Amino acid sequence: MTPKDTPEIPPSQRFPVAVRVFVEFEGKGSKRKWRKAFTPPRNKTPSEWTLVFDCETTVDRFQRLRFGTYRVYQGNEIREEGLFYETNALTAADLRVIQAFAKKRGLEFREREDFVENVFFHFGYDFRGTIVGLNLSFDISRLAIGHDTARSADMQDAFSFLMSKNGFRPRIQIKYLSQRSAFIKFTAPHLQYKGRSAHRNKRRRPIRRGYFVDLKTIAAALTSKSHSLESLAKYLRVRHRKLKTTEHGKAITEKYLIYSMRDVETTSECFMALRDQYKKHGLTKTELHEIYSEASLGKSYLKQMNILPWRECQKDFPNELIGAIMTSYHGGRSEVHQRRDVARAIYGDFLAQYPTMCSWLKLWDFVIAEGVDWHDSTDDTRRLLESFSFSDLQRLDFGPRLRTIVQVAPDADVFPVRASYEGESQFTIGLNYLTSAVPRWATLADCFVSALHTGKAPKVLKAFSFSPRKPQSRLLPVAILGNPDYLVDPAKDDFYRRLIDLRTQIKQQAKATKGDEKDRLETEQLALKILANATSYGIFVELNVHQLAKRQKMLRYDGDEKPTPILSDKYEQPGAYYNPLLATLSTGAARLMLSIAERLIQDAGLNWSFCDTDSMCITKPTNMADKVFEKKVRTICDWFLLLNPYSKNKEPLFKIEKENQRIVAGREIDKLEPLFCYAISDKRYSLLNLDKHNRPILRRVLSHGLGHLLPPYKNKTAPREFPKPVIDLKKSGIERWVHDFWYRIVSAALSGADTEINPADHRCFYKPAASRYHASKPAILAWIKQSNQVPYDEQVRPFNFLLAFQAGPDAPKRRGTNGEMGPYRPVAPYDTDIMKAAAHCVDRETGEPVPMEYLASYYEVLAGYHLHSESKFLNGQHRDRGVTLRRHIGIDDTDIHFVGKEVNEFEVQYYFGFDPDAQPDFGLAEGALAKLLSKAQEIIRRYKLNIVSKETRISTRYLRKIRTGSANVSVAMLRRIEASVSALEARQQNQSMLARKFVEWCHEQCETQSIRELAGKLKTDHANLDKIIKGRRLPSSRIIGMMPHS
Amino acid sequence: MKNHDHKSERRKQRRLEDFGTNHPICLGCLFDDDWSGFEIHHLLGRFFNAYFTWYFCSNCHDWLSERQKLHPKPISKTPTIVEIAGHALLNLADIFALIVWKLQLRRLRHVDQPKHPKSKDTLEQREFGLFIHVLESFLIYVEPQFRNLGIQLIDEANRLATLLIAPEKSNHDPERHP
Repeated sequence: MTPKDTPEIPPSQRFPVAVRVFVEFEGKGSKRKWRKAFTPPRNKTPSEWTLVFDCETTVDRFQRLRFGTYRVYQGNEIREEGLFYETNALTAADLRVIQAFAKKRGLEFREREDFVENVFFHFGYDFRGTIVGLNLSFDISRLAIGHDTARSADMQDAFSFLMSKNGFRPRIQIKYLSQRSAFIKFTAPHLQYKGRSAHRNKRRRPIRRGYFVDLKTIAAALTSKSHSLESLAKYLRVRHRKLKTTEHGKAITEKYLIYSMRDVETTSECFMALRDQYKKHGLTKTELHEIYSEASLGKSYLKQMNILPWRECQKDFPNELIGAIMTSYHGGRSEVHQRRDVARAIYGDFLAQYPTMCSWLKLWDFVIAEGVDWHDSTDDTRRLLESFSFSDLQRLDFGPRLRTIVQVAPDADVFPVRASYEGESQFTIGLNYLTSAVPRWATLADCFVSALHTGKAPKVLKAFSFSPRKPQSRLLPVAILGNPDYLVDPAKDDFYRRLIDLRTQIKQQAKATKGDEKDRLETEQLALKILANATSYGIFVELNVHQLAKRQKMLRYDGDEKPTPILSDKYEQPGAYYNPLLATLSTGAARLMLSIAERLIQDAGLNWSFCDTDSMCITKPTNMADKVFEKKVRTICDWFLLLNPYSKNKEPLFKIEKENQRIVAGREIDKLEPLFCYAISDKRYSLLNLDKHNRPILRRVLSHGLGHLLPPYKNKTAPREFPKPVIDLKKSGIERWVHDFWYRIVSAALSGADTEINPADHRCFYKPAASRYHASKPAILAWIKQSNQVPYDEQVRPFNFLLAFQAGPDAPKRRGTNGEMGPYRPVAPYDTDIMKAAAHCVDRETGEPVPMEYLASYYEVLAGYHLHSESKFLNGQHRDRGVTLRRHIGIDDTDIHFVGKEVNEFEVQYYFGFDPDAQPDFGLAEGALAKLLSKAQEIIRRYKLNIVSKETRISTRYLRKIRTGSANVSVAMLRRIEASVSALEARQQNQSMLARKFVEWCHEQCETQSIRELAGKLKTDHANLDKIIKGRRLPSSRIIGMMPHS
Repeated sequence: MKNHDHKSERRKQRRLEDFGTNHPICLGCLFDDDWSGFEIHHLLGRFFNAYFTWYFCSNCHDWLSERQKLHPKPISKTPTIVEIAGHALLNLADIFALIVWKLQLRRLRHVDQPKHPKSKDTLEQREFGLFIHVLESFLIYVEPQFRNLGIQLIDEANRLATLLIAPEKSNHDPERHP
C-alpha cells in the first residue's frame, strides 16, 4: 500500500489545535433559558386571508418610509387594495398626488398608523392571515415606531419592534438569520389573554405568533438561489413583471405610484406561484411559513415520512460517545497543492458527493432506524488497516465497513488538523502529518487516508463500529413533488440513491423535450438536487449557538471517558435531526475519495493544483503530451466507475466538468478545450483557457475574499481595457469587477510578473473600499449609536444598510474599549455616494470620527490578494511558488483547544472581519491550563522580568502576579509567554556572547591600565568591575555599551 | 371592512384557532357547513382534564354532554389514573354510540344512497358502503365492551380509594361541578 513517492516528513512544529466537542448543561436542563414559556398554537395553518405589502423609502441613509402599497386577499380574491403614507416624509404636493391617484383608482388611502392598526393587525393578526413581502424584515422595520432588543431566550440578538401606540397590540420580534431568512413573530400581547369563559373552562388559548412569509426566504429554499423581485418574477414567469423606475427619492408622480402598485401585484403573483409550487411537494406537516431554507425543506420531507429524529428515538445514547464522534468531525477538504503556477489542467468533480457517500456507507439505514448499536471492533479494525489493498476501496460493499470511529495515537500520520497555522487568528483545516502525545478520535476513512499517504497504518488504541437498529415502525412513503411516479418508500428504498436516480431520469427526459415541459422538468430536477443535498449532511450536524446571559455550568464531552465540567456563556443547541455520527462518517468518506484521487494522480505521474470539498484540478507535468494527459485523467475517472451506486446514472463518480469543454456561441459543446489553472490559496483559484495571443479567457473564478466588498464599478461602467467575460456572470453569481480583477492577476502570472505587480493598480480602485451590510442585530446597530441620538424618525433603523470600511496600512492605531491598541474599525450609515459616507464614518468601538485619509482604498485592501498565503502547508508563504508540502504538527494536551461551531455568525464575520469571540470556546484539556501556567512561571523565573516584559509586552507587575500564581491569567497570555521562549533564549545567548567579549576586552585593557582607571572610564565602581572580570557578576547592557565596537 | 364584519371574522378566526383547524368536520355526524355550528367538548369532562378537548357540532356536543352527566361522579378531588382511564373509556363509548346513531340516521334518510332509482352504485360507492357497514358493526360490538370496562375501572378505583385513604372532606360538590 506504500505510495510511489513518500515524501520526507519535515520536523514537527507546534500550533494551537482546535477540536470540536459536545457540550450539555450540568443537570437536567434546568438552566435552559430559551425554553418557550408557552406552547405553540394548535392551529398551525393560517386562515384564507393574505396581506401583501411593500414600502417605498427615501434614498438617504435613513431610508425612511415615504409611502407603501398593499393588497388583501381572501383566498385568491382581492378584498382590499390601497396605499398608505408617512405624513412627515412627504411634501404637500406628494400627498396630493397620492390622494388623487387613490381616488382615481378607487383605492383605500390610509395614513401609516391607520394602515398598521386597521389593515396590518386586522388581517395579519386578528384574522390570522399570512403577511407577505419581499425582504419583509426591512418593510416591517419601516412601519415600526420604535425598537428594542428582544428579551425572550429563543430570540437572542433579535429586534423587538413597537408597531402601534395601542398598548394591547403585540410587538414584532425579528431575528436575522442570514441574508435570505429571518425568524419573525408576534410577541404575547399585553392583555388578559384568557377571557372569563376560557378561564372558567380552563381553556389555554395559545399565543398568536403570526404567519410571516418572506418571498426571499421561500424562493431561496425552493430554488436554491438568491432572487430579487425582478429575477423571481422572471423565473416564475408570472403575468405581471416588475417595472423599472429611476424615480426613487424624487417627487412622487403617478408613474412612480403605478410602479409601486405593480411591485405589490408582482409580489402577490410570485407568492401564489411559490405557494402552489410548495403545495406540489405535498408536505402537509409543515406550513409554508415554517420553511426557512433548503434544510427546512429536507427536514419537512423527513417529517412527512414519519421519521423520528435519532435523539428522540434513542435518548439514552451516551454523551461520552457523542463527544468522541464530535472530536472526529471535520468539514470538507479545501486546499491548494500547486501554488501560483499556471498549469495545464483538467478539472473534475464528484457526482453529488455527500448523497453518494451516504449511499455508499448505507447511512439511510441509520436515519430510519430506531437507534444505533455499537460494539468494540478494535482488533478487526487493526487487522483491516494492516491488510487492506487499494482495490478494496473500489468495492461498493466496502462502504458499510467505514462506519467506525477509531481512537489513534498519531505518530507522523496524516490526519485533518484544525489549527491556527503561523499564528493566524482563525483555525483552518489542513491535511497534515500529526504527532500527538494525546490520543485522538478519527473516522476509519481518515485512517485509510493516512495509510494511503504514508504507507503505514496509524496505531489504533480503540475502535467502535456502529450499526443501525431495526427501522422505525411508522414510516410512510412520500411522493416527491406530489408526483406518484416519484414515490419513495423510506423503509425499502435508499432515499439518496432514489433521489439521484430520479434526477438522472428527469434530466434525460428534459434533454429530449422543449419549451414548458423542459422547464417543468428542469424545476423538478433542481428540487431533487436540493432535497438530496439538504438531507445528506447539514441537518445532521446542525448546532445553534446561544449566547447566555452569564456563564453557566456545563459538561464537556471531548472524547475522554468522563466529561469535564466547564463554565461557558455559549451553548450549542442541537438541531432537530442532529446525528453527528452521520455527518462525521459522510465527510470522512468524502475526504477518502479525494485522497484516493490524489493517490491515483500520483501513481499516474500527474500532479494536482487544488481541491475543494468535492472537486479536484489535475495538472499535467510539463513534459507530458496533452493526449497522454487526457487519457490518464480518463483512466482515473474510470477507476471510480465501480463505486457508482446508482442504477440510472452509469457515469464515473468522478467526472470531467463542463469548464473543460469548448465554448461555441455561448454554450459548452462536447469537446475538450485545453484548460489551465492558477491557484493562490484555499478557495482562491481560477480556471482559464488561452487565446491565440496567449491571453487568458477566464472560465471560472471565485469571489472568495472579494465578495464582501462593494463593486468599485458595475458591468456597464467597466473599463474598456478589460475584455468582456465569456462566462455568464449572472449565472455564476460573480461581479464584473471580480472577473476583471482575476483577469489582471492571471495576466500578470502569465507574463511572470505576478509577484511585483498589484492587480488593483488601476484608477477604478483608488477609492475607499467599503462593504455593505444590514444593521441586522442590535450589536451592529449599536456601532452608530452616537449618530442615532435623534428622534426616532431621523434615526438609522434596524435593517438599514451600513457601510464598513477598513483602516489603511498607514493609519495610526487607537485604544479600544478593552484598553488595547488596535486598528480603527470604521463604519458609516449607508449612502449611495461612498465618498459622502466615508466622510462621516466613526470607529465602531469607540465612536470617535475616523478621518477619510485613514481609510484603506481598494488598492490597499487588495494589494496582497494575489499573494495570499496557504499557511496550512509549507512552501505556502506569500512569495513561495510551486508545490506545497505537508507540515508536521506535534502537539501535547496544552495545545488542544476545545471549540464549538466554527462558522458561527459567519455572515457578520464575512462582512465585518473575523471576530474571535464569535466561536464558542470550551477551554483546554483538563490539567492543560495548569501545565501552561507552570511553563509560563518557569520562563518568568528563568529570565529577567524586564526582559520578559519587553518581549511579551506584558507589564512586570502582572508577570510577578503570574509568577506567584495570584493572577487570573488567560490562555492567550500564557501562550504569548510560552511563544517568547525562543526570542528570550536568543536574547540571552546574545547577551552572554557580548558579556564574554566584554570580559575579554577588560582583560586586555587591564594589561595597560589599572582596574580603577578602567572603572573610571566606564563610569562604574571598581569593585563592581572587579566582580565582572572575575565572572561573579554579569555586566549590564549599559557597561557593555561603553565598550568600543560593541 | 365594516366593524361588525371585522368582529365577526375575528370571532371566527378565534374559534378556528381553538379548534385547531380551518376546516372543522364533526366527528359524529360529518357536519362541516359553518364554523359557528361547532363547540368545544371536554372529552374527559372538565373535572378530569380541562385541556383534552375536541370540537363537535352543537347537536352532537349536547348529546355527548348529556351522556357525560350520567357518568359516575368523581370519587375524590384528586382522581387516580385508574379512574381517569375509566372515564376516558366511558366517553369513548359515548362517541362510538354517537357515530353509530348518526350512521343509522343517515341510512334511514337515504343520505348515502344514489338519488336516481335507475342509477347503479359505482364500485367506489359499494366499497364505501361496505366500509361503513363494517365500521358500524365494529363500533356496535366495541361500544358496550368499552363501557363495561370503563365502569369496571371506576369501580376498582372506588374500591382502592375506600381501602387506602379515608374519604376526603372537600368543598367540591360533584353534583354541581362534574
